[in-house]
Amino acid sequence: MEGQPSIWRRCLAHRSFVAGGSLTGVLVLTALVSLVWTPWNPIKQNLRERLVAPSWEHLLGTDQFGRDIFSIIMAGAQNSITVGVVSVSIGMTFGVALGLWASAKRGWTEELIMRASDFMYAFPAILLAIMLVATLGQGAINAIVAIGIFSIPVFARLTRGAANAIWAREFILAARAAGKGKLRITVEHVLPNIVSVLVVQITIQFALAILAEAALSFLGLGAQPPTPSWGRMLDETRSMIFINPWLAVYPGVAIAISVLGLNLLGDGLRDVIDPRLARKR
Amino acid sequence: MTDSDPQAGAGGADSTTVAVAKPAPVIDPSTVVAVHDVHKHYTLPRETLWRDPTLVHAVNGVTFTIEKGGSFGVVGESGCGKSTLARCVMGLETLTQGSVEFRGQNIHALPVEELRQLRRHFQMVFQDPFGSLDPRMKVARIVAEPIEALEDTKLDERRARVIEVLRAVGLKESDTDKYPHEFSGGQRQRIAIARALITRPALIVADEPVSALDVSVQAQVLNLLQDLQDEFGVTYLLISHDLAVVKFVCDEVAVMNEGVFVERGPTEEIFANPQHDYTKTLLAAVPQIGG
Amino acid sequence: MTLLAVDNLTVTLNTVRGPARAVRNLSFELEKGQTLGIVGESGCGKSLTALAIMGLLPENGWADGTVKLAGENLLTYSEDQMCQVRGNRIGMVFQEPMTSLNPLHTVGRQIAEAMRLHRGVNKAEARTEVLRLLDMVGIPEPTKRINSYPHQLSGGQRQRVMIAMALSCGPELLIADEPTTALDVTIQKQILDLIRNLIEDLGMAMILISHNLGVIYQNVQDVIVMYGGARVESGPTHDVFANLSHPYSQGLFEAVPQIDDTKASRRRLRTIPGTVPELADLPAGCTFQDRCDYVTDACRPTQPPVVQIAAGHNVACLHVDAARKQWAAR
Repeated sequence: MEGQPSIWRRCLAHRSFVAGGSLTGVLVLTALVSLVWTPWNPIKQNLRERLVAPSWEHLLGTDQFGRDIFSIIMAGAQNSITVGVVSVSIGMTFGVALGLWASAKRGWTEELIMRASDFMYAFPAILLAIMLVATLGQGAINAIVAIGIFSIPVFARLTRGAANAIWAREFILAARAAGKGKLRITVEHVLPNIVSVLVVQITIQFALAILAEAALSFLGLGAQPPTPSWGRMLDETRSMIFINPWLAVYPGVAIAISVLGLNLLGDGLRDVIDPRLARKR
Repeated sequence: MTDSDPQAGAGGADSTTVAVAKPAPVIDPSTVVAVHDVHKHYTLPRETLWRDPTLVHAVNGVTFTIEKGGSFGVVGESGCGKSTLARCVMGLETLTQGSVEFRGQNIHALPVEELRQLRRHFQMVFQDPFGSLDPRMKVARIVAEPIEALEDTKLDERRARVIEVLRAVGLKESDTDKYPHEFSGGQRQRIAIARALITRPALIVADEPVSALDVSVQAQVLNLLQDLQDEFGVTYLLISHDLAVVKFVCDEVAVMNEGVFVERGPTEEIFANPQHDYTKTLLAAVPQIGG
Repeated sequence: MTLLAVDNLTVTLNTVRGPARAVRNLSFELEKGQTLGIVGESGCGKSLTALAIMGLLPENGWADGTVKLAGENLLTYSEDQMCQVRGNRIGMVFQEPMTSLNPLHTVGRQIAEAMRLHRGVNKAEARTEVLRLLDMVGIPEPTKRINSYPHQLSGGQRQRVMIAMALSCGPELLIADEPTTALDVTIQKQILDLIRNLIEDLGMAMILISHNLGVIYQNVQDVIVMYGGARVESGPTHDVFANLSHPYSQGLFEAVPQIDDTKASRRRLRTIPGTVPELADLPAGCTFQDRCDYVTDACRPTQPPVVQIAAGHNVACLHVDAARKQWAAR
């Protein structure tokens, strides 16, 4: 039973955890560095140096406005991470709270919360996000809020399912017998026991949020110029795709790597946190 | 929290309406718990949309009282309703009918907050020592749970009480900083008993406290239950499928089958001279050594 | 001729804390039609012994020694050859009938499976045979029940189905590992009576594994008491129980409350101090040394000698005389 290697050992021994962790690390590091330094000013246009090929001066070349692509990609990481953090926080806070509430109350409260989230689930999230942004007006903040709102049901359902399993355990009955109320049991017993499930979901939702933001920006509903954004880069380079296809490749690769990294990290975390699940697969 | 509490009168009056066969419980100061005509019915989820859901009569009219310092055993096979009865007595289930009076207070009629406060006086020990302890809490917190929930004690005083009660069940002070998985089944059950004991309850409801334990460890826990009764005067309600365990711990025993007590009386008498056919079958089925 | 001869069987498990000898140098013989009980607490090696005989040890474990079924060493058999033995010549009944039955297949199909595999009978023949078996294990209305799924049966009925499966090919040996632990006492009695009668009628041999002394006492001719992977006492059941001689067997007996005790006579149970040791931490020498009242330094370095105290009644203890004297005087 005992003598399992420590959690760090297991992390480092897990290949997709290491790969995902490194990629995610690079993403975060890039965003942090770009706050204080980028090779060139990512916003400043330089019409004399449009569509320059990659060189030591411009590692990935420049776009049709003469901006250094490497610098925009770096600064774009900030945008992606902000979107991920804020929208996942919104989705998680409300989703987890609703899920825990449903699980603690049961009965018609649970029914109502779950049917409402099923209702939201039934619509394609990205379409609804587009609708919401179109109604509220375009802009980075509205996009983030929209993405956040549509991850609420994901967290709510996951939390309710995991929490119900914990509520059925005997130590919960013991806590009730000890005289604890539902709120305290939820905070002290249920939540700590479902954290591992949530952590995994957070990484996955983070990746989905980055994708969703890229999609909204591509449609012109997300981050507004001149804020650097990978999704908008794709949109802006759309007309250039036959002249200089590389312009579209760079942001595409950046998005793909971030999403891949986060998904691998989520996979790895799930295996490391709960080795039982890993063996079942 | 005294016997003259108005709740007592209300509970008594309430139960006279259903008490036809037996007189309403008289609140005797030495009575710790009085269970009167308790029914608990469940509806199972529908099997098909077209048929009415099945109604299960888990407990179907059970009445008994336990005096201070006594130990009452309920024995029966799986599905007879004995665990449901234990949870009803603990106020962890709502009743379909009947009343459970703890020191004269009808616990099912109490407001949530008052019931919570009253809980320090009746605690529970569960069957599964692996499932009944939160795997993410240290022993000190698990054992302190009831006082943490119900009392406003200072940290060092709380710790002192945890250590005191751990010693009483045969564990060490150094065990407070360990997690449940670091203990064997028997030690875990000791932790669970310590948790039930820390508020110095008048009543401990033990639901199959030794069923999950190895034989040699089971004996240690049974002796512990006896010792604690001698030392603290605890009253027990013991639920078990094991006739020998009930016989060892209890002075009074009830045999439960399909939600009702088929037979009830002093332990020695029931075992020596069973009256009901079901009791006889049950006794005859126990594989004995010798004979 | 001896049906099953287990000689010097050692089962080693690879655990995170290194290899652990879960069964140590176990030897016993079983004649045709003989019944043997193995009794002990969790981790004593009783279930691993059964799995080793069946060639079903977990991936991290292996067996040394010999397990001869009618003269042939099963430990040298390939997986294909073992498949011809399992379910065919040795039947097995497990503790938890719900998890040992496939929830997606009817019980009729599951009972027929082994027959069609080993005996090559056709569908119609198999059906007739399944109906006969269901009737034999006491399932009412076999023609109806043959099409039931496991979840539609009660625990006792599921265990009857397991027994029908184990017996379907007419094995020479039945291994029952805690067959009634998950069942109520009244059902336990029915199942044990059923097994005992079937064994007798069909002339099979049986190994019954249980932690319950009463179950062993009532159902087998010979008994082996195991502790920490080693045999501590063995012999004809009634002789052993009449004259318990190993300190562990004595402790185990005294630790169990009996329903014919009176409360006054046994206000306290005698306990065995400490807990069952972890397999990886088993000491060299006698495995019971850390919990034994009679332990001396002589017990620690080597495994205790096996002393024969009566015909067929063997005890592995250095201090068997002291233990017996004490027991007689209690």
